Amino acid sequence: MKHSSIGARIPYWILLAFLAIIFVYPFWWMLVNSLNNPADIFGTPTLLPRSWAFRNYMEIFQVQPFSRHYTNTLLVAVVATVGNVVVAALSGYAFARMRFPGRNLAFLLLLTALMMPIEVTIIPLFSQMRAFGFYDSLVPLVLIPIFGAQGAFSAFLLRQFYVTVPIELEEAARIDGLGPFGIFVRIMFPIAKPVLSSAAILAFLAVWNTYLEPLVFLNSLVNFTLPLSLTNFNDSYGLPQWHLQLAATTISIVPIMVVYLIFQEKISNAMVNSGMK
Amino acid sequence: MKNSYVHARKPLSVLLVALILIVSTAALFAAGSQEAAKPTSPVAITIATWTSNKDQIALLESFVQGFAQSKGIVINTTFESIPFADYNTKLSLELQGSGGPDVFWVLETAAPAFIASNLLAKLDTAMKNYEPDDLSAQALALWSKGGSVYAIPFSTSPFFILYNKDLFKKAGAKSPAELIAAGTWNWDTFRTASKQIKDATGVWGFQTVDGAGFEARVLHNLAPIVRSYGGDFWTEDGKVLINTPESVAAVKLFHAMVYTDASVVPPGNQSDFFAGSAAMTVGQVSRVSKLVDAGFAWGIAPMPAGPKGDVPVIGQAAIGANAKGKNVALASELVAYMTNKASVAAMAGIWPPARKSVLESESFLTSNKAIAAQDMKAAVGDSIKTGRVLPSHLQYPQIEVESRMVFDKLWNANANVQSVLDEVAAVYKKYMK
Amino acid sequence: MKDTPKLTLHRMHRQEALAGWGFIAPQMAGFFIFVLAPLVMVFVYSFQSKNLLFGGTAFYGVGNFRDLLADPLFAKSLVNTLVFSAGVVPLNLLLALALALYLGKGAYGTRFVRSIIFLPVVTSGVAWAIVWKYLLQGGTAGPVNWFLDQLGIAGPNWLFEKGWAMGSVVVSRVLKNLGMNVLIFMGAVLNMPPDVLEAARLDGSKGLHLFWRIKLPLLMPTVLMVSIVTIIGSMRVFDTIKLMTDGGPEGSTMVLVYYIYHQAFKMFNTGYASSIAVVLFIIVLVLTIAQWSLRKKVSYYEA
Repeated sequence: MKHSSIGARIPYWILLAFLAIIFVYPFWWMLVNSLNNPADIFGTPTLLPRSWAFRNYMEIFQVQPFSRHYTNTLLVAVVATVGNVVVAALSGYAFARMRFPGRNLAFLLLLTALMMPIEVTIIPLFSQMRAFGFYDSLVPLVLIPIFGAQGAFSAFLLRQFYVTVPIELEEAARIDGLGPFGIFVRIMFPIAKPVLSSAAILAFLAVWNTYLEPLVFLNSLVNFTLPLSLTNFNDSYGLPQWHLQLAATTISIVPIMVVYLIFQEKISNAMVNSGMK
Repeated sequence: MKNSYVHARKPLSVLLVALILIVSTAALFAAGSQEAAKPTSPVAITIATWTSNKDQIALLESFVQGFAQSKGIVINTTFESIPFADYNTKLSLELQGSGGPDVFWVLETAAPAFIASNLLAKLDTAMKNYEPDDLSAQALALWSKGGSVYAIPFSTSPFFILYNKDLFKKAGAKSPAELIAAGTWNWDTFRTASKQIKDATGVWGFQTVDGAGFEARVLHNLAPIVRSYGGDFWTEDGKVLINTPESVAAVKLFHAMVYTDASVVPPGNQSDFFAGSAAMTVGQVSRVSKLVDAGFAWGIAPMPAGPKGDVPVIGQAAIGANAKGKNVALASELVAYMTNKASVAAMAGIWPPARKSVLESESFLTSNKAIAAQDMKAAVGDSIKTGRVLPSHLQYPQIEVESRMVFDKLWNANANVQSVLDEVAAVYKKYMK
Repeated sequence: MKDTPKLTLHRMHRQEALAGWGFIAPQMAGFFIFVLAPLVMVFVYSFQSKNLLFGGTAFYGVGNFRDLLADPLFAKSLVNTLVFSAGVVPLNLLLALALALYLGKGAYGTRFVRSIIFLPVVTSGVAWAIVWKYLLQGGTAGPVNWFLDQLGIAGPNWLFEKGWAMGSVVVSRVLKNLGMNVLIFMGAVLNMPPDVLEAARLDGSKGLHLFWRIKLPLLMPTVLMVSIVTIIGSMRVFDTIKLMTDGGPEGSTMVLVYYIYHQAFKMFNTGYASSIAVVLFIIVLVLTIAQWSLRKKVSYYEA
């Protein structure tokens, strides 16, 4: 930055402080009050917890199978993410580099999935999943990000990448006697690592945060994922338990925050690119 | 790039990823289809409830095991807790498909729709050899149709007032106990006490039931006032009474408490009785356990009376068997077992029974350690006699959703109670035939 | 390749075609089952009278759509969706553009602002809605109103007053997604050709003039693209509404997607709900076509 006068800096610092309040304070408020007793949550806001009720963080595991919810979410997110990128890498590669009849039509069709809001198809999907016997299981939560809009997006992303890969690479491998699958497994999949990781980040975040699908497809408490679990501290029989809800929300956000702060550039770039898809 | 080709010769890691994918997908599918387990000698029974409380589940499990023993079979029970907020919706959807729970709790508001859509098995045969006379026809009314019983209530739990003795003392207000003793425990003295507490201590006088009296539980909240004034929402025979002068007067009283006196925790405010931020609220026996380590002295009292006496809301919950389940006959017998005299007596401290014999027994009055016998009698035992369940309807969910939006109009200071209730009545009338 | 005998070439082509189909098979199979089939079915359902709870499906022709026209709540939800978009989109774009231009200068602390402004973007909508529901508590209980109280302003009961609820959800939604657009705009700002800017400066253009005449036209394609993406996003708002206002008060925040959910999964009218979903589909389709035709014109984003 060029050295500017103090007078020019003051509005800048005010802006900075204002942004910090707006974007950081909600998280700080959540963290502080996750350590408060219910009675201390409202009223004059404080910068530090009044009650230091660390037991809130134990209690969330007792009133709900919260660790199960955490595991469910992790399981769904990991399986869906891996499935998403593997399926998308296969098709993205084929769309970019292989010649076969119907390729363009298929790709065009797939692009329509990109724009398909899940909200439009959720009703038939519900009937379908129930007919398949997947109601109240984690299966729909895995299938939809692999094959729905998120999957199409990853395929699109990977196709754009594979188009740019020099052809010599394949030819060299072909001379080595590798078949199409060998080329994919040994060369094409590994070299797509940067794009794969972008696609994976996006898919993982999307699955981790998804709310409508679990709301519709899940039923029993043991199958809940985190977003559902969080709202359930509020709604369960008896009264809402804000301190627990805030503690649980904190625990659900923290890993994402930490990962984000470490891989900031990568994550924000991946998301920004997706915003411009 | 050539370089990366050399480096990338790691098919192993790729294979590994693929393997993980396949295995975990398989595991997921297996988990998804575990219902269809192979037939073995123990019978698998799934029971859906809205509680996830370990003690309550253990109690239910003990009934199942008692039943299994009496039949000389082995039962493997799976409990499925569906959160209360979405219980009706979720359970309905599950029962529509295959593989729903064999036995499940039914909420009163769902009773007509569940019976009409044939989700519940008839229990008449299963109930044959257990003393049905003990259950009054009134208690079974909601759960019967055409002379058959479709579910048996295990809980007939009146709502009553919970109050914070410390706050009453601090404000110098007469406590419900004193008012009852003086014979003046009614909605007017209730209102005065609430205002007195708010004015003197700054703490809210009253929190609506579950803090949701303006939203999800608007009927629960208004029913005891409206009915004790001689009004109602709608009646069994399709009359709409919510805009009668009696109903309007009652709703006006509550509206004035919120907006004139400002003594009621207002909509959207999270102040909570159980945290000590409101002096009174409405609750049931099952909620009392939350007060075990409350930081204040508390008491319970029956609902205040109006011109027509006190008419608390009774929350009923029943157990039924899935008409499309795999073991309908066995499940029906289990339902009967779970609501027989011994089981009901064992549950009485949490869920007040519909059985006269249990209700009138001495052991019932002392069944909940946190509640004194005379309170149990006044606020629970006697209230069961004067109280009534909420109005029911085949299309209750629709009515609820549609009328909620109109009820919303009540919740501002300038609301015209009469005209809002006229609108609510118009909504109700659409559904009455 | 050119030296390969014809026959082998033929076989190679066939092999490649088979491999190609094999490679796209998982994706396409999933697409047909989980995207295309449900899309066809939602149209089918929309012509049926269908209830999940009571079962029974009957052909109902355009009955559902006729009912939509007569349904005040549908009209309301459509209007509310437009109001929501009309609130979110300009607010989001203006703030994002202003911040991007300001921060794009590479001022001290830009990295910090980039980081914090993006925090809500990676946070789940559910968590964000939960926290904001608390922050917007009525009376003086919530931090927002506490702050206003310190300034001597009596804040309203944000989420429970008809006049404020929509505005409140709009603001919380804007703050959730603002970071995304700021970063997109920052990228576009950095991509502005320096020689053009320099030439304009030499011509004496600066300040607002520079913005209106030079910068905005340069940024316009990005602004248009981002607007459409933001509009589509705002059409799909669900968790914010469900968790913060539940569509209330008096249905003043009932939006299309929530109404679909309501009709389908609360009232079990799946046929009727499907007809609303069809309406949503058409809106999104039109917006997407606009987006794609725009995208063709602005090809330089594809980097």
